[in-house]
Amino acid sequence: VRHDYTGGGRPLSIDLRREGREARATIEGRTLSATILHEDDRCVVVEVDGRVHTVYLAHCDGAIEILLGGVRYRVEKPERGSDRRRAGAAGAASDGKVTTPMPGKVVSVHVRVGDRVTVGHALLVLESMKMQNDVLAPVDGTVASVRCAEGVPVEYGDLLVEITPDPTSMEPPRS
Amino acid sequence: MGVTRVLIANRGEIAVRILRACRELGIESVAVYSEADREALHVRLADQAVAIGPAEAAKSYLDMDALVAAARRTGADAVHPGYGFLSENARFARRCEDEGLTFIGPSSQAIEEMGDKIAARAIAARVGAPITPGTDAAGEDPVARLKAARKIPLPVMVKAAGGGGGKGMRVVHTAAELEAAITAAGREATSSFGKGHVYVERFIEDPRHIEFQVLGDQHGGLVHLFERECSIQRRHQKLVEETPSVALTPALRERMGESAVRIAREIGYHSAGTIEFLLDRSGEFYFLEMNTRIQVEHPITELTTGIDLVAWQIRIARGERLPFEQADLQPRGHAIECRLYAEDPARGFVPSPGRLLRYAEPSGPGVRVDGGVYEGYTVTPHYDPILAKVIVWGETREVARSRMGRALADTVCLGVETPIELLREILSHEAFAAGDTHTGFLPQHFASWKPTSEGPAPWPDAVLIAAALADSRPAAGAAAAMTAPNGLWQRLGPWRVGSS
Repeated sequence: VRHDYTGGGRPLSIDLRREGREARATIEGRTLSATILHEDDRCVVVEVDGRVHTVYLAHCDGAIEILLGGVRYRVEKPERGSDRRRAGAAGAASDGKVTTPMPGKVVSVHVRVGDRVTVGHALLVLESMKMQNDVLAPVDGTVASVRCAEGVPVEYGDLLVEITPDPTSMEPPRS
Repeated sequence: MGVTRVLIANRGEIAVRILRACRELGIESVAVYSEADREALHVRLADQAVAIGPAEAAKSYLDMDALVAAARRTGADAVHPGYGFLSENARFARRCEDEGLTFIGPSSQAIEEMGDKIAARAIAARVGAPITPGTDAAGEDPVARLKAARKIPLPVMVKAAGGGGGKGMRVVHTAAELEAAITAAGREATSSFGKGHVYVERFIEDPRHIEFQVLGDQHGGLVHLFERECSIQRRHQKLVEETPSVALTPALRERMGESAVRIAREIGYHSAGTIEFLLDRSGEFYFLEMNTRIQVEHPITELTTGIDLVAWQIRIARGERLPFEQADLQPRGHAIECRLYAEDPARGFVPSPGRLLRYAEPSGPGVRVDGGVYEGYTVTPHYDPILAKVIVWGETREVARSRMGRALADTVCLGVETPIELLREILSHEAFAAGDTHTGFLPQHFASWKPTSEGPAPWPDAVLIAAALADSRPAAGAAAAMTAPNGLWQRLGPWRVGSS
C-alpha cells in the first residue's frame, strides 16, 4: 500500500506491504524488511535491519506527529479539506474571511465596517498566553463586517472580520 | 502563627510544587482555579480545590476578594502566592496580614520597598552594593532627567521604575534617539503598570545574569544560598539556569553573596528572595533588582544545597528559626534547569496552546521534574506557557550537562510545540560547554534555528514506517486533536509581551 506524505517541506512516500508482524517497505527505491514488535495508538516498536526503534506517535490535524530518538517529525497527510481550521486559513487567503488562528482574547479592534484595508494592515490585536499579536488583513479590500469585540474570548476558527476583497486582489498572499 | 491549611493562590507547576511541600510537612493544601483550569493538575492533586472565577486572570488569580473569600470558605489560615500573579503585590500581602491570614513570603513592606526599582537601587547603593550609573537622583523631572541621562556613556537602557518582564525597556545607542525613547518608555510604562515613571541607566553589553538566593527567618537569621546563572534567555525570559556559575571565582562569589545579604538585611527581609545582578565581561557586577518571592528556577539551588526552599518558606512563616548559618553552608555538585514552555522556538517563540497528545516526563539518576501538566491535558491560552521544568544534578558541570541532554531526549511531548530540541542543542553547543554564556547567547548562536526535521538530512526510515503503520490502523485519525497547523502562524505579525 502506497502512502504519500509531505514532511520538512519535501514529498515523502512509502510503500508498505505487511503480513502479520513482518513488513516490507519501499522508500525511495530501497526495499527494507521490518518486524513490528509492538503497535498501539501511541507507540510503535519496529526492528529494521537489526536495530530496534521505539517511535511515539499521535494523530493531529491531518498529520501524524512522531517522536524518534528525541527528535520530532511532523508527517503531513494529503489535504482532505475536512479540518475546520485549515478551511478557515484557506478561506482567509481567498475570500477575505479572517478567522482566529489560535484561542485567546481580543485586546483591541482597529477597524470598522467600511474601512479600506490593504494586505498586512493590522485589523485587531489578539492575546494568547500573555503575548499580544496583530492579526493582519490577508487581502486588499473593504471591511464588510466586524464579528468580534474587545475583551471577548475567541476559539480556533471563529470568524473575526470579513473583508470584501478588491477585484484585483484575489490571489492568496501567503499561506 | 499557625499554618495548618494553605491556600495556594496560583496555578500550574508552582502550585503543584507548593502543595507537595505542604503534604510533606503534614499541612493541608487548598487549590484555587479559574473556569479555564478545571482540568488542571494542581486542582486534581490538592486536598481541596475551590473555583474562584472566570478564565481572565484579573477576575480570578488576581482577584484579592475572591482569594480571601476562598480562604475563608475553606478555613485556610495561610496563603502561598507562588510566583507571578499577586506574589509581588504589596497590597495583597497587606490584605492577608489584615485578614489574619499568614502570608507565606516577606512582609508587605519589604515587597513595597523592592517593588520600585529606583527605590531598590537606592537601598543597594546605601549598603555599598554596586549599581550601574543612572538618572535616579533626577527623579521624574523631564529636564533634569534628560540632562543626567546625557552624561551616561552610551549605550544606555531606558526602564520603567515599576516594571518587570522586559516591558517598558529599551536600549538607546545614539544621543539623537534618547529623548524619544524616554517618552515612548513612559507611555508603555503608563499603560502596563499604571505608572509612567522611567529612568535611564548604563547598558551593560552581553552581561551574564547572576542571581543570589537569600533565605531569612523572622528572628534575624539570614543567609545566601549561592548563585544561579540564568544567562540563556529569550525575550528577557530565562530558558536555562545553572548553579554554580563558571564565571564566579570563590572571591567574587563571596563579594556578591555579601552584597546580597547586606541588601536583604537592610530591609529586614525574611522568607526566600532573590537578588539579581549583571556581571560584565571585566568581572564587575551591578545590582539589578530583588525578587521578593520564590523563583521559577529555585530547584537548582535545592539540588546543590539540599535545602527545600518552599518548605522553608512555610516554616519561616510559622516562626521557625533557620538551623544553619552562612559558614555551615557548602554547595555540592552542579545543577541545571531547562524550562519546557508550550511555544515554538523555530517561529520566534510564539505560544503554542493545545492538547498534550503524548506526554511522558524523564526520570533516572539525578533527574527531577517539576511539572504542572499530564497527557491529554489541554494547555490553555490564558496564562503563562510553562509546562514543566526538567532539573538535573551531577557531581560536575559535565556530568550535569550530559545528564540533561539524556533527560531531554527521554522527554515525550507531542501535540504542542516545545523548545526541547533547541534546549538539547544549546546544552551540546561548544560555547555552552565552554561556559561562554551571556544574555545575548541565543540571538548570537541560534538566531535562525530550525528543528532537525526541517533540516536537509533525510528522515530515518523508521519515521515513515511508523507513519504508514499508524495510518493503516482502523482508528487512524479518529483522535484528531486540537493544535494549530504551523502554517497559521505565518499569517501573524511579530509578538510582544502582553499586559495581563
